Amino acid sequence: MKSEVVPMIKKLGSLLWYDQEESCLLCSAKSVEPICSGCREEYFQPRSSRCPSCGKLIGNLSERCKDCSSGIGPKTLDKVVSLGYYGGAWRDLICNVKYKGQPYLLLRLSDYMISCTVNNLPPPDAVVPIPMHPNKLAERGFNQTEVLASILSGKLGIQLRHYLIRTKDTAPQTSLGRNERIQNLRGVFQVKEGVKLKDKIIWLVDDVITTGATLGESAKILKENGVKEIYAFCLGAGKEE
Amino acid sequence: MLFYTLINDSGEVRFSPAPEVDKLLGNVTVLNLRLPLEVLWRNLEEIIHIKPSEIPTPLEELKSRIVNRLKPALEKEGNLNIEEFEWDTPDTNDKITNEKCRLVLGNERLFTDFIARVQGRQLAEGELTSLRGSMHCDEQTITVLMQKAVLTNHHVWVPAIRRIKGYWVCQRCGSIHCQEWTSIYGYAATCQECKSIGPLNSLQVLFRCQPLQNQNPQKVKHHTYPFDFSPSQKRAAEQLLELSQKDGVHEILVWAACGAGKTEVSFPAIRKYLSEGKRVLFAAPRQDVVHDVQLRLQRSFPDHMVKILSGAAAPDWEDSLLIVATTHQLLRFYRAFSLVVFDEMDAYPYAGNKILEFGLKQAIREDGRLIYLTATPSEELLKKFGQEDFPVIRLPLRYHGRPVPIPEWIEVNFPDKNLKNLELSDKPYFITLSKVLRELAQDGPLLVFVPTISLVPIWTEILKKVFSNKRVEGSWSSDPHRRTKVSSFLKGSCDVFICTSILERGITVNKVQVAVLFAHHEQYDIRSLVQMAGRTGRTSENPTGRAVFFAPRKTREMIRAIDWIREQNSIAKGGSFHEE
Ligand SMILES: [Zn+2]
Ligand SMILES: [Zn+2]
Ligand SMILES: [Zn+2]
Repeated sequence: MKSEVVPMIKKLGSLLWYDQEESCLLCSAKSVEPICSGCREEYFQPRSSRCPSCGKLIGNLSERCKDCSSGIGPKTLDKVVSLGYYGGAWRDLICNVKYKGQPYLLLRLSDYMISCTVNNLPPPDAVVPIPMHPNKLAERGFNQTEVLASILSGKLGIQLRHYLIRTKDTAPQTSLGRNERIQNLRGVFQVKEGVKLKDKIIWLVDDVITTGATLGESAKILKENGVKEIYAFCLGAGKEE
Repeated sequence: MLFYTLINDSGEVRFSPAPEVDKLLGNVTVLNLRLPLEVLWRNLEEIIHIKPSEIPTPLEELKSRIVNRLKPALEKEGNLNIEEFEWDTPDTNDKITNEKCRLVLGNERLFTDFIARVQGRQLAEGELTSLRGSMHCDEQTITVLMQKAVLTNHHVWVPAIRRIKGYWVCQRCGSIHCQEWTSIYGYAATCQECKSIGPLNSLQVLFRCQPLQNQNPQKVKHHTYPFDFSPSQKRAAEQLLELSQKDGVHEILVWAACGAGKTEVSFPAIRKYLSEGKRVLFAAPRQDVVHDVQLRLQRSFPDHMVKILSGAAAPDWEDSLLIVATTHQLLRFYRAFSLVVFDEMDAYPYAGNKILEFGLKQAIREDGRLIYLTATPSEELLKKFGQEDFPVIRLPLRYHGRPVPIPEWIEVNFPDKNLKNLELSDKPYFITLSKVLRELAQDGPLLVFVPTISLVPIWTEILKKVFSNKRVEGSWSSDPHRRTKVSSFLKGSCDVFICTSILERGITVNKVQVAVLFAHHEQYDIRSLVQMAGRTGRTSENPTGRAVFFAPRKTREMIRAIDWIREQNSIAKGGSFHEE
């Protein structure tokens, strides 16, 4: 008996030992933090400013990105913050969460999300996820923006509110240009019946911001219904070249 | 993929992602609610397995029984807004038109083509995009074809992960190592074990296909092999060929010394299977080995396309008789192979082995055979083999006929604390160590093994100081630059290479010398020690070399490893040996 069990325990032991060698979510290098310092530097770029209108990473040279300075960015958001640059391994991680059924990975990002929001945005009355169309939600089984919003809500003690509903299934935004995106989103969002939004301050949450059409459109609807200030948080944003 | 619940005229309950197909092929009534198959199976288990004699009549009762089970389950666990459970109402979600459905169902050529591509596999949803691309058709067409195959050809849908007795069990790899999360349908889970070939979760399904038919036997031109068999290789190969055809023998173990040329020993048996139109899989644990074996097989079987499957790459949909794959690729197949040659199965830790055993059982045909090739059979293999139905073929002699170098132990008192600071040059243990390492490096390229990933960068830095005029590199399994670094060592453009077990097996480097640091570490068992030592003296030009175990004491595993190699050498020297 003994001779069989001991080697097995030893092997299992060494397995555990390897599992415990914690590794970076992005590059698998050994790292105590969920994301290693090299990857944080590369994707979060803590010293690069974000365009306050659209969340884009803009270095330190200007106040706003070129698009927003020339007036074609979203205009209904009071400020946007993005955690990192939507590219490379950071993009892969966000895609793995969304398309490969791994929403639990987002939990490991909570500390980064919290410092990104509380350091840059004023406290809100509610955190609101961008809704997914019911059909898409049915296929995927979860809404990643809702997971993000519930992390912020849970950790910061802010109410999670589903003020918005999505009434139309849209073509994927990625295949469209800026004007088409805005066109594509007309009438997609509605405010849920009976909710009181007057003078509220809201954090809108989405996974990725590119042109800002989705967040801009949702914010527009919310403001038309009385919301006072709207701030947006997303995991990934573009970078000014 | 989501499924509707269907009832046919005789009260049989089944599930379909495309009820339009079922409707065209028979009379069914459909519940207008799409759910993951796992949720349906779990909640309606009793109803699916109901005996025909006990099916309630009228069907209205069966319908309400189904709703009465689903409704509370979804309300309790899930976060779904279901207003009404309706039967047979027109559904507007992603509806496949009748016209389209008829068109696809009527196209026999398309269906035959589809079956040819998927036979012998078990497809995950993630693989469908690539299948679609290869057939140039859209999502709905594939769904229709799949459902037709289920209804007419005994293909089956299986939830990718099932909740069985409180555990989530992956149906692709058999693992219970699943991460649970909350979906709108209630709890869901993603398998952590077979993630590397595309993550699977419990909201998804596997499409399990029917066994592959053999291809027509083909006259294979008898090419001579582009290498010479050594006499002992030849004898083993003939024995293996004979046993692989013998009735009642399903598994054969080839136990060879490191460097005996065991891979080639399997070639005559492989050739025989190919000539009969039977499919063969050669599975090896590491990517580096797979690419090397593919080249060797391709040179020996020039009439066949020898395909490679490795990593998370989308599978190739063309049929092929001979495939070389990393072992996890097994999980993509179902009853596909007549012969599986499994190289170095013991390279996996215990838990990994369980997954592969599960995968093997699924991938091999019921009448299929399995050949294990290994230099270091595990206890389990040794226990299993030796009887008549489980024969062992031994090949203790190296290809060039010279013995395997016996490893040496050199006492080195490594400090117990971690080695973050590199101020060690004056420590006594370090003086011994660096002296011996320098000696080794004079005789050829030096391969240095360390037991953990975190030690690789530390020792790479240390050895860069020791060998200031040599090229020193370090790598480990998840190192993004692993491929280039390893190939630079194999090509000889690096003198000292520090690594974890990644180069423990399957590689041959002329003149290589081996150093195992922390050889007493629990990570090293007898098999890995034998394998690491077995890297030395493999080529005919340089059949000798040194393998040194550096450790504060000689552990039981080290003693056993040295004995193991001695024993193999003496059996080889005797020329004949008993089959155990
Ligand atoms: Zn990293
Ligand atoms: Zn901007
Ligand atoms: Zn699995």
